[in-house]
Amino acid sequence: MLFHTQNFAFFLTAVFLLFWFLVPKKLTAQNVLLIAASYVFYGFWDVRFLVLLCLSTLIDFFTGLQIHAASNEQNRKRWLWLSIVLNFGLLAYFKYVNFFIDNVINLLQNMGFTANLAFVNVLLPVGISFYTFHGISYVIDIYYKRIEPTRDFVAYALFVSFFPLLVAGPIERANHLLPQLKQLRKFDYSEAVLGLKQILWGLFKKMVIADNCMVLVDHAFAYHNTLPASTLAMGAIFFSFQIYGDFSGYSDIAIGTGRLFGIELLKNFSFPYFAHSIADFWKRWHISLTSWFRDYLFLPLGGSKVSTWLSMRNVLVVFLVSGFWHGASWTFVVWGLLNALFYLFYINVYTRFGMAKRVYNLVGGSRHVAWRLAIWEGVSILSTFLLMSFLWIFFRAENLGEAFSFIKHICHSSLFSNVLAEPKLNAYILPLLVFFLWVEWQGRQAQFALQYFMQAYPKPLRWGFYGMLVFLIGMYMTVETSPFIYFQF
Amino acid sequence: MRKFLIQFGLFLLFALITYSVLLTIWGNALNGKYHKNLRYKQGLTGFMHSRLLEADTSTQVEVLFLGSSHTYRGFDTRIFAAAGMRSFNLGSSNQTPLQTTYLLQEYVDRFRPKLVIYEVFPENFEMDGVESAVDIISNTAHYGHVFWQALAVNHVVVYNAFLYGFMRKVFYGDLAFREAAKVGEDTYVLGAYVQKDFRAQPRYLMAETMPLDVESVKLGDKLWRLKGKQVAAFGESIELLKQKNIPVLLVQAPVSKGFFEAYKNYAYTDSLFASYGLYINFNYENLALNDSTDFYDAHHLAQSGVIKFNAALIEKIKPLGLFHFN
Repeated sequence: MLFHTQNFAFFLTAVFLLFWFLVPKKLTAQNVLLIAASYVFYGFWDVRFLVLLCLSTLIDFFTGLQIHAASNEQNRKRWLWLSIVLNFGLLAYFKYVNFFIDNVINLLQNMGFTANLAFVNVLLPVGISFYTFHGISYVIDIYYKRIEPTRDFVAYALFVSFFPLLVAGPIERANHLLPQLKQLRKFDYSEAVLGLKQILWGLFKKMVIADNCMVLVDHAFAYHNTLPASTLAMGAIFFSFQIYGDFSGYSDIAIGTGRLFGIELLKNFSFPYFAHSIADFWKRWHISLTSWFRDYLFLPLGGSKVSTWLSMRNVLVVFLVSGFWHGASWTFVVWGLLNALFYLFYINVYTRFGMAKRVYNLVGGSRHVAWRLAIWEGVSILSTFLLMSFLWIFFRAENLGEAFSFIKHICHSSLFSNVLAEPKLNAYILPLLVFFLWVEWQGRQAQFALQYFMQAYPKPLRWGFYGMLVFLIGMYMTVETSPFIYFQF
Repeated sequence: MRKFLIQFGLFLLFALITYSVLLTIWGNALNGKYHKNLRYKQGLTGFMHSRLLEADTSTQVEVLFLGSSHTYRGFDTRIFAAAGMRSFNLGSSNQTPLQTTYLLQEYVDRFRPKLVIYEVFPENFEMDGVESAVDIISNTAHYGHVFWQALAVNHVVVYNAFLYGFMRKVFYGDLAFREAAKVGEDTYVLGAYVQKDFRAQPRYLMAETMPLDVESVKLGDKLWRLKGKQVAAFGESIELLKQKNIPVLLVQAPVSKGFFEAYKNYAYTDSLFASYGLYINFNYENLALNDSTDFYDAHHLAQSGVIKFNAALIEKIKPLGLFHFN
């Protein structure tokens, strides 16, 4: 069941009404209802995978209690490793086994051996990368005594399976979400209104921006050998908008849905394309995942409080693992590696040796400070955006060959040909992108763009604006429902 | 909570008004390339405007034809008139069973036909019915009734067409539109048949410069995949005709040999259609049709093909004993 379908609209309405009318004053009943709804929601993809979800929930709930109850450090560690091995075992089998087999076959063949390994016919359970990370963070937090294990199995099961975040995050933390699930939720009018606004903006991002950009992106990547370089460059830039609209749109709908039930979920995006540098970008993009890697990988490795070389190694490891987390393909690994290299260059060369100041002086030639800052900001944002668009090519390409071929074909004199002549560039997409960026820019200080947008205006104008968003969705949505990109991870 | 629900309900109403106003502005002020999901157009294809106008003033129809473009381009009302049958053609472009059911409900009591010939083309059972629903919505005078048709198709393009058409009718009417009787190679014939002037662009001359679309189909590797909701709507039409004691003949019109052979599961579609009543697949009949001269594309008959096909069909109707033939 996808968020931008009629099925989900009916489902959400039914669950919302049941939740607030049937069980408004009973905590356990509220949680049981949400678990039931979550399992129905998940079962729409494949009922069989509910077994995995239950298994993962049971493993982490049980091992969490055992870690806490263990009498000595050795036993605590045993239970921790049991949980980690089982969780990563599930993830490795369902997500990476065929990647591993494929690479072993290639390696053996390159060494001159004949490989007779068979691929495993396995489907990737949707959301497995997300809910296993919920469970792992929970047991690690117990191990490091940051939290106490919960004895409320119902609350824990809901922590893992709450339907808005079940299939593509935000990746929650026990210390943030569990306390909310142990308190009776009371209906909050302003939170519910905020939730609806966030859902509306998420739908706009996904159905209007992402899905319309997809047309040119798919065309550019499929025919990159024959298209002019300007179309390919536009395709790469459009993919930046597609993946942002798709994933942050999903996150907005998830967080907005949480608000409707009185549950605050972690923020996942903070206007990443207005970032001034790659380091800034990674503080704003998929925040729940980057902070997860920071807390459970980067810091345990020593973080940045070690020697320069070790710190650089830690950054490299985090980006490589993050890349691999996204999918069982070398494209994601190279994407992670390149991000790490640019990130390290920025941290260790660009800022450390005063290059930032030199560039600032270069681009901000005006004596007027406000203009100087505006130019500096514009150049920083634009250059960061273009860098990220370039890196996204590896993320989007089917394989490394296609990524390098795409880049090779961009480096051509036709880069300056008229891209507006491209038939797949629909006339309405550029005005929609300008409108989208304008709203995002106006709302960039808020949790999401519409949070305070037009807040000072009278209600008819505000409602008129929201009505216009509904209209733009109806007029420009793609009629073939396309799934969210991050569902594949 | 109460306040929230009331405010939300009011907002939905407000949004609907905003939506309708913007839809009207968009549809009238902006170039077609800027209104992606608004495809409302009177007289779009297949003379639906003229057909529905004529249907609203016709009575005493003995044979009613229903179905896709194979219908309005394949059943020549003049040939049937010559054989002594007053007929009317309610076929339309890409008409799916959802629209056929609607058209039947709308016109069957007015016509009270002695026989309904329902043309069944598997491709129309694979479609969602959007194009045909928009075609009907854009051209019908019975606007209130098509609301249920829009709900049945349940598609944003159809809702937009419905709402836009509604606003046009409410605020400035649609009376000004007049459809020409001849558009390009197509000529509208009384009884709502559309004749293709095949001689203007003979297919056998086009073949050298324009590859037949059937040639791009790899022979024998395609399957018909009928949609459940279309099969259900088809059953609904048949049931309606049964209730009214109107006999129905299910017909699959001939298509070019290459197109026919590209699909391999006719056993399934034939048995399905046959389970609903008397069914004839004319692709198995020996009509001596020539792919190059009797068709103007892969699955539409040219006039020479129509003459052969209609003659064979009339021979099949004779034994039914419904008409007195000359």
